Amino acid sequence: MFKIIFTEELRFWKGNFLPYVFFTFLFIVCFMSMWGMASEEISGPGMTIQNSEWRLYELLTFLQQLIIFFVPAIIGHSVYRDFSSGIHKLLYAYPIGKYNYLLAKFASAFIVLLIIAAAMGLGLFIGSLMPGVNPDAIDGLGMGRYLKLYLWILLPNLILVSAVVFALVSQWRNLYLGFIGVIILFVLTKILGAFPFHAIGYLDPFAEVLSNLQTRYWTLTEKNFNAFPVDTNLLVNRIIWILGSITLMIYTFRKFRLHHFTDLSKKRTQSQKINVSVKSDLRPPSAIRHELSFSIKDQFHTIWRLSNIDFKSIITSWPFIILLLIGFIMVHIQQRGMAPQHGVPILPTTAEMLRIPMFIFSGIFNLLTFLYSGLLIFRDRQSQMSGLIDTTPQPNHVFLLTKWLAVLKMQWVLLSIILIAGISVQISEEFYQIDLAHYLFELFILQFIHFAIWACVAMFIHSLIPNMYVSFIILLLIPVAVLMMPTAAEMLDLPWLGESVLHFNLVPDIYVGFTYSDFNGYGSMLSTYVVYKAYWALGALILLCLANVIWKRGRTFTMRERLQNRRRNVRGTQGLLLMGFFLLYLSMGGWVYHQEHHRSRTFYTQDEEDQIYAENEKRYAQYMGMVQPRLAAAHLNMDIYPDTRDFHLKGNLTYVNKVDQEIDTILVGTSFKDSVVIDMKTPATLLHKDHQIKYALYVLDQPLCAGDSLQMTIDIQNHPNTLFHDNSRVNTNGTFITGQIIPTLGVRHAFLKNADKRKKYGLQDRTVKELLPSDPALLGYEFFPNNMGRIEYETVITTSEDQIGLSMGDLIDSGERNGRRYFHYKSNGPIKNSISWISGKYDMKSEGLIDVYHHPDHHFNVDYLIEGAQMSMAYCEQWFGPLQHEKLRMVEFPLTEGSYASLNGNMIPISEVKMLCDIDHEKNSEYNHPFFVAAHEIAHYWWGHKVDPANVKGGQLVSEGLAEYISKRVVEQRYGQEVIRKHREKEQNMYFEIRGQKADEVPLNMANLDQQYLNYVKGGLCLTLLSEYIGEVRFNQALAKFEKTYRYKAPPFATSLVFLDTLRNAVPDSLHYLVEDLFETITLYDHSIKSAVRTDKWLEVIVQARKYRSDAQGRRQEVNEFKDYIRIGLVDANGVEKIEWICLDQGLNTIKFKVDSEIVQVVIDPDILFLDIDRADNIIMVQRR
Amino acid sequence: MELAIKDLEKIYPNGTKALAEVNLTIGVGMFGLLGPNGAGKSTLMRTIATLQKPDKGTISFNNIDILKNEMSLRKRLGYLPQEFGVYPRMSARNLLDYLAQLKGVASKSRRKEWVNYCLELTNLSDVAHQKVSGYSGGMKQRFGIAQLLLNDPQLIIVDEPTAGLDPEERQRFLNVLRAIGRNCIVIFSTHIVEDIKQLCTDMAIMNEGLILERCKPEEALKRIKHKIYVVDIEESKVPALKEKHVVLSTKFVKNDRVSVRIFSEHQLSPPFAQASANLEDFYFITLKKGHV
Repeated sequence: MFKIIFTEELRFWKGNFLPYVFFTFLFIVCFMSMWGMASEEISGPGMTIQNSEWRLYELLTFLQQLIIFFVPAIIGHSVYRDFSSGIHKLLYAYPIGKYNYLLAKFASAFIVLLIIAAAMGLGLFIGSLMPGVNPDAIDGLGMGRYLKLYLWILLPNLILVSAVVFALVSQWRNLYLGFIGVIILFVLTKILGAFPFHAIGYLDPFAEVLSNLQTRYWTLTEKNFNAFPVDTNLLVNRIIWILGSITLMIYTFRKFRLHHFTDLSKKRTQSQKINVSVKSDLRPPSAIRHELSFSIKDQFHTIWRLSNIDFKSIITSWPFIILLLIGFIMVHIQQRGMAPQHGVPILPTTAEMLRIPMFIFSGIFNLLTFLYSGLLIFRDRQSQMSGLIDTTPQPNHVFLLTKWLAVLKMQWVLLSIILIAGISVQISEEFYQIDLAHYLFELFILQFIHFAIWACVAMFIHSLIPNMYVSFIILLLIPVAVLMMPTAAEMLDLPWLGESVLHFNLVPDIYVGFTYSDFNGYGSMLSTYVVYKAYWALGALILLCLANVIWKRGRTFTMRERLQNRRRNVRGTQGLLLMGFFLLYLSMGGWVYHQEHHRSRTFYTQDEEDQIYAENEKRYAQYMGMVQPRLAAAHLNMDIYPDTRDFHLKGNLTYVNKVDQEIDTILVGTSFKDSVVIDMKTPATLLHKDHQIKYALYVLDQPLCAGDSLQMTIDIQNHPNTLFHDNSRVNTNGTFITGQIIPTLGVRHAFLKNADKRKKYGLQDRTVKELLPSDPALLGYEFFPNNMGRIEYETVITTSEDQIGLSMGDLIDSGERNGRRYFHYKSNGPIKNSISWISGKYDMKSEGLIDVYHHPDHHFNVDYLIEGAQMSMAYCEQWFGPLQHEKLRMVEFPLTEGSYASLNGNMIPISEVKMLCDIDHEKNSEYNHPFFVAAHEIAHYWWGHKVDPANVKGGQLVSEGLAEYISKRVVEQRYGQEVIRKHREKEQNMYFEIRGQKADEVPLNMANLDQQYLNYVKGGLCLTLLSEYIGEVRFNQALAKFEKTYRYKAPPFATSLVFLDTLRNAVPDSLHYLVEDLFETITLYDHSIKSAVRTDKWLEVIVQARKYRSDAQGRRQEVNEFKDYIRIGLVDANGVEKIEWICLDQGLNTIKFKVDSEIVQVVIDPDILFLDIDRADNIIMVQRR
Repeated sequence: MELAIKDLEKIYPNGTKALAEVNLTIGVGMFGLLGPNGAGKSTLMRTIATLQKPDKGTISFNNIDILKNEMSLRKRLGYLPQEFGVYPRMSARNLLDYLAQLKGVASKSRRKEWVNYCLELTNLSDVAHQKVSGYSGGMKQRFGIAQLLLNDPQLIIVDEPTAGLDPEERQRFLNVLRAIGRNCIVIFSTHIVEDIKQLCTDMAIMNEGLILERCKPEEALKRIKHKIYVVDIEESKVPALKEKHVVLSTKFVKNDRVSVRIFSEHQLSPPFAQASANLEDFYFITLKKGHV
């Protein structure tokens, strides 16, 4: 019997088009991806091998998200088709055993599913063999790798999904439950993904958590060459879930009944006693015939009321309720732990609650929109009610709009999950600044438009395609395809595909929700969003009209008949409406296109930016070594107009030739975003003006000798703001304009780095000089803006009446003039060239010499900022002498301008994000990020200002590295050892994670300006380590000596090389290796304690010591000989830790300690100082012999 | 009030000629459409109910061309298809309210009134709060009647409604239909002659897409009066009999003897005995001969 059903099923699938469609689709996607990616990959150190196990894992799990949605259409359909065709009524009366029946159904469908799944591997495999692929990017055939990943990952996952779908569909005899089941599994894995712990890893049905845990710190080399990690954890996970699947299958089989009805226990209405005669006294109510009404108003009422009924049918169904609950949990989890700043959560402000990852959510919203609009559209036919419905005197659009509205209402429910979850998080965290209007506006207007547009698409596709599940899957693919269009445009070299007017329902630059600042709301992106969405909404209305035209009503038998019907439908008002929408849509598209291309625009696409970089190199690299005068004085008037969002900067700049060499040629680079007028006051001839990359080349009539100065006046303002292009740097509140708008002299150091792009623009392999610290010609320039020494600075900033204007220097005058406020700042002596202007509505808190200007609602962390600044100041003054300034202004700026903090003279701009860190005010015993940030910035007055390193590689070790070191010291002082240990551990993990994603790691003394994970994170960690090992006093004394040598020193400026020399002098010979390990090489450790055994008086510890050197791509080589000192912690029963020093050789070391107290635990490197790749084995419980 | 069908023709893509030049004019009263399975009855019913389009021909209701102007018919139409289902998890009352809205009963109170009346009329009031999907066949069929009455229709089309009903339910159903069919056109299709006899004031017999006969039931009986005979013979002799006479039906009597009904224009002598004619005879004659 099994065989008969099985072969019949296979025969059915052979004749069904769905498996072929799925197979072909997956094959093409995989084939094209592999072929494309392996062809694009450029040989070299940063190359990713495209068929490495890790890469294949990544690709397969990505596509797995798609294939799981095919499962209901295959596995679910195999049982469902018997119910839907009604043949089960006959079949179940035959002498077939249910086990045979179900097993045959499942087995045959699963085989079909496997064949479909094989398309992925096959596509990738064949893609990797195609001509044109870079052979270096392909590592052999790799058949074993595919097999391994299929067996360990894909196959068990598919078994699970199939079992769930099979159980749901056969139990409830409803195919759509299969889809719901898949969605629930999908959401569940997304929730679990937020908890990267081993324990959770077992519960993760797709084992992604475990795999990510294992590979999260992998470097490029490891990704390229390591085998995909299969360990006992994974094995346990797989066993759990396969057993689970089997149990579920057995349960399903046992529970299944070969009955006609879904559930016999369900109450059926008892047949009543029949009264054969009709009540003779029954009089019909007065005739209603003439009251029937079909006016537009009535139609709207009908649509509204009927959509409520449809809507109720969705939200009262248990699958939807389950989904809602799970969704609520997911949103809640996301909202609780969002966007932490260095591990510190952000306060649950309304904007923060709304910043949930809309990318995942919109995926789930779309799934439900597509599914339920299908269910509603097909509901009449599926429940065989269309005969009754279709003959009612309602035009098609009543049915269509009823269903559409019901789906929109469902979307409102989904959106209100975010609202309710958000408010509940806020209340539970006792944060009562709940901005209901903001919630409603963002969710029910901004986000809702987006989903309503997708609902229109769903209505159209479901009306167009007669099979609901086919149209559902097509719908799933549409958003994915749209998202892929820009990438495809680049890969296929079809620029028109990259036009944003073609990317349905997308708004350029707003993929994943909005950025909202308490200062200026959504900023200018709102208008772009509204315009684009209006355009897409028009498109969606066209689709809705078309859905109405093709609405299936009654029966048609031939294509001709259908076409005739449609033609009839477009006659009259509908046709006119359609035509009108279409014309409107086209003209709006044209207008949007025009705006994007022709209006004054200051936004550059990636391509345009690349081109500018390339041209910069081609045309101006020749001037790289040319000496230029440097800024010495700036007298500037900055007018800020928050209402119209304009600014106007006027003033004089004085440049001085600071080198002993005549200068006759001046290359002025001006801002790309603004309109700039330069007037050379020193006689000069304009040789050449480059409008594309904004340079002007002058020849001076009289060359500048050393000490001579050059004068110019500047007049800079923004281009007018347009609807699409925000040309101004001004916000309605919280404007933050930096000195980048001031002209620079000399070539901008902006060149293409990416090898691929260099090839594309016809550039050779790196001809631009690298900024090496060993190059004496470079040591006269400081970090941006390539200055040479400090400047005189004076500015008058004017702004609207209700705002405060801020800049660096001392406030010497302020007041009101012509309804505007002005603020006059002047530096007290020379000051570092780091100009910025801020204007906003602020509250101010002043303590000592520190003023904090903050948004009136953002008072939470002001005290921590002040405390951090004061402690850092005290620490630095103790070791390195007094602060230069008499007044420091910390000023909050909107998060739309960034999430960092910086230093502009005596002004310290700090991002809104830092002001919103959620610090436990009562305990305040955890790592306090605002405190840390303030301490870090203050330390820069010594390390960055007084000692300003040269603009070369490694220079930031002296500025950022030391600022990190000092702030860590201050945090330790304030919060104690445990907090700083935890913080170091977090930072180490961050370092490991980021280095895994990059392939350009260098030793610290050669770190590039943009390698923040080295300059900040690793720099701070390594400097702390050294100071701990040679002692804080000795280390700080060395720093003080260095500071004294380089304080405001004329060129050559400090570099990492001279800094390390100073350190080396302070380090005892026995620890010299540390300087090399930490700063001159990439060194990693993997120490582990093998055993710790205690006899009466002795504790014997066996430590395995391992040390590696790594290259840029993370290729490790073990260091064979070393003698390293390391601290080891012996913890007694009372938790008291005793630190001992030990010396380790490579390999196993046996160390004996004489102990007098009860030692229970041994920890190697208890302070978490070394970059140990596996810290889990650094701790052990002592055993007693 | 009049429904006029002219030259209606429909050929399905597989070549089946479902309607061949159908011409009918139907007035107020119960009109029975009789025919075997596959005769084209449902096609005709669906075409009148605006659910499908003919290849040729016109249908007009009160002089309005309903093929061009479907909505004006739908406003006056009550239709019960041969097979129908209902939304799951909805009670009869809610579902009727839903349908009444679709049928244009805008006023809430009027809707309530009519829904109650329809439930009462079809004797479903007691179970109105229960889910229709759980109803028995007869109850569901009565629900079908209830829903078609919601808009107080002038034209009622019921497609084989009594098929599968037990005798009591069937009787009840016909009674309801009779009660509502006094002031409007009711077109009632069936292959059970008994339904027509009980109910209809007018009828047509249809086969292979053609209207074979069109008359009032009493007239039909009049036309075959004295032309029906019965004879008891051995079963083995039936084929021989069929060659000579128009055999309408055979019925086993006892052992292997059968009683055979025969139609004859001429008077027959014993053993043929004259029998009283019934509508069933008329139906069989029409099917056999194409006309009477």
